[in-house]
Amino acid sequence: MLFNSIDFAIFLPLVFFLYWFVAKNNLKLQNFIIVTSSYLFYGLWDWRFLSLILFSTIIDYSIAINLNSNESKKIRKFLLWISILINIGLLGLFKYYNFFLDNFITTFAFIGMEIKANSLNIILPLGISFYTFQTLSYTIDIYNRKLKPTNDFIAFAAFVSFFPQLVAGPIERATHFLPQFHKKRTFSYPKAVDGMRQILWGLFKKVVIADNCAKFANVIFNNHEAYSGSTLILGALFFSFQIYGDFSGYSDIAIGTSRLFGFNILQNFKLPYFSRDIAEFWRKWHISLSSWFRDYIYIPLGGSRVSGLKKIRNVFIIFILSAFWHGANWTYFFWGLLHALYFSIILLTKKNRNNLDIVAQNKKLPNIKDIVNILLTFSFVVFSWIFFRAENISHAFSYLATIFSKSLFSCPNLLELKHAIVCLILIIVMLISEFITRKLEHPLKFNETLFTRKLRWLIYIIIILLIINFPGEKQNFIYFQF
Amino acid sequence: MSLFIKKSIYFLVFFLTIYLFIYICISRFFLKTTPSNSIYIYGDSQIVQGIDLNELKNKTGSYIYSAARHGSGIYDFYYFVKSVPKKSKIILSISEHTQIRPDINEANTSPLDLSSLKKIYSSDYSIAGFKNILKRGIKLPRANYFKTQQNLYPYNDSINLHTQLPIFDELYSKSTSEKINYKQDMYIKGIKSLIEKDCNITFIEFPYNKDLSNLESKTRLNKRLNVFRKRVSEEYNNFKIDTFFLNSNKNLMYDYTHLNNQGAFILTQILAEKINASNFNITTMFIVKQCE
Repeated sequence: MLFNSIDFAIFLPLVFFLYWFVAKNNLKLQNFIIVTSSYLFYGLWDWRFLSLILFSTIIDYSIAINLNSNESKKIRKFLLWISILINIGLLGLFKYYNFFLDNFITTFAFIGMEIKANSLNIILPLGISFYTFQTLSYTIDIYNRKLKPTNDFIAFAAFVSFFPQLVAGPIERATHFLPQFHKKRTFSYPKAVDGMRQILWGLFKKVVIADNCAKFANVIFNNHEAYSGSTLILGALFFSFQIYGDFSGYSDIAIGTSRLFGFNILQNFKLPYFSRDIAEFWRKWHISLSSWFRDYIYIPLGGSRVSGLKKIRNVFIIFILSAFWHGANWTYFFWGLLHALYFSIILLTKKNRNNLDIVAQNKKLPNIKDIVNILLTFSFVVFSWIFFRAENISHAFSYLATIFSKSLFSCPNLLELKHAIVCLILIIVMLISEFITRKLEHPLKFNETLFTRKLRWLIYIIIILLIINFPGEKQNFIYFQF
Repeated sequence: MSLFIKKSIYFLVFFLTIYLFIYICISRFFLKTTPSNSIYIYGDSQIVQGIDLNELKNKTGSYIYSAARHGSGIYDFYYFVKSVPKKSKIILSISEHTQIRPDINEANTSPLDLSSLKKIYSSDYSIAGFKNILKRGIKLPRANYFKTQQNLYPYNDSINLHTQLPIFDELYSKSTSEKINYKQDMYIKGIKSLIEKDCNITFIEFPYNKDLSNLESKTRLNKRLNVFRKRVSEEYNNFKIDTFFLNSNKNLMYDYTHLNNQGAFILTQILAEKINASNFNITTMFIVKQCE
């Protein structure tokens, strides 16, 4: 079920009604409603993979209880490794088995040995990378004694399968999210209104920005030989805003929906395209994943408190893992490698913590230096997205070769140029709105003394009109595939 | 909680009222009145790309209004039937692909209209297709339902192979006589309504690339598709079939099913001459073929 579908528009009010009116103040019943509705939400895509979520839930629930009751270091470590192996094993089987098998066969064929092996005819279960990492965070935190295990299976199942963030995150930490399933939840009017506003903004980013950008990005990337270098730059730009609108839009809808049910989910994007260096970008892009890698891999490896070479090793490890987390394709590997290279330079020059504040804090506009840094970082990010979007490595290099040809200086030769211009204007509107409200979680978090009800409703109507009348071609959320 | 629900309902009602108001206003403007010496065009992409509107206007001296759209479906046709003025002169193309296109693949981009929706609802039209009509129709109508300008496909020495023959083969194999029959029934119903409105119709069948024609002629559906001509002719006392050929050394097709701008230009010139000669007095079905 997609967030931008009629099905979800019917599903959400129904669950809302059951949750607040039928379950009322009964916490257990509320959690039970969350579990059943989440399983329904997921099962409508493919009910067979519900067994995977259930399996993962049972394993981590029981391992966590055993971890807590055991004092022996060896047994605790053994239990943790069982949890890691099962979770990563499932992920590996569904996501990486065919990829590594193909590469294995190709490598042996290269040295003249023919290996016969059958690849698996399987589809990737939706959201497996997200809920796997979420349950892993639970067992690791129990192992590190940062959290007590829960004895409430339903609450734990609700934590794993919570439908707003089940299939594309944000990846919530058990330390932050699980306790919310044990606390009594009461309806809060301001929270619910804010949730609705964030859902609206998320839908705008997904339906109007991402889906319209996707139309152009797909045409240009799929037929890049037919276009000039300047048009290919436009294609890369469209993809950059497609992926931003798509993923941050999804996160906004997830966060907003959670608020309607009385939950708080952490922000996943904080104006990443206004970052002044790549370190800042990674503190602001897909925050839940980058902080996961930071806390569970980078820091245990020594982080940046080790010698120069080890520091670089750690950076490469997390970026390459992050790249493969996105998918089993060498294009992601190159994308991760590019980011690791850039990040390493910043780390070695000790500039990685230069920009911890919000851009243009206490000012209306950023200064010239910040603007130059923002543009440079953005250019690098757009450049690396080419690898992320390309079908394979040769496609990416061929795309780049066309960009850096004579045709770079020609006028973009895109059909439906008018539509593309409208789309660019809307991107600018989105960026300006987000920049002006950069200290807030989303642009529709109005200061109600400045924005009267009439003005607020006018803004809502304009956004809904755009969503209904200017949608792009309906696309699946990009991050569903991860 | 009650405040939240109350305000949500208020907003919803307010929004729906505003939206309905804008929708009705635009719909009125959308179907603005047209001059009496007008020719209306309806069909799918074959006629969109197959007739040069400017050339037709110049040659016939009439105003040309086209409601033809890529992938148009049965709902679009019923909307056209409802929207076209009484006693209009119409050029109509119900292509073979229109007759075999599954409900779900029909574009049906026309605005929502209760009488047209009722006709669709009372037929055996699929639920998924009906949902698509509602989803697309909910958008505010774009200015001008009847277009007076149309971009034609560019000329090329060879045809564009973006859609391969096996795809057409699959399309033919998936379609059944029952499905075609049901679609033809719906189109005939629409044609009857146009006749009731005293409209003078000129039917036209566009050429296919010869490879596709060969493929299509071998299918078991070929006979069923040809029946449509007969069924249309049965609605008239005086009905003529006129076949003409497009002569040129150049490639006139853009792809397997659509003419390019050269093809459209040549076809429009011949069609205009024939229309001028008959002035829609005898209902004619023009079957256009390409010289080998």
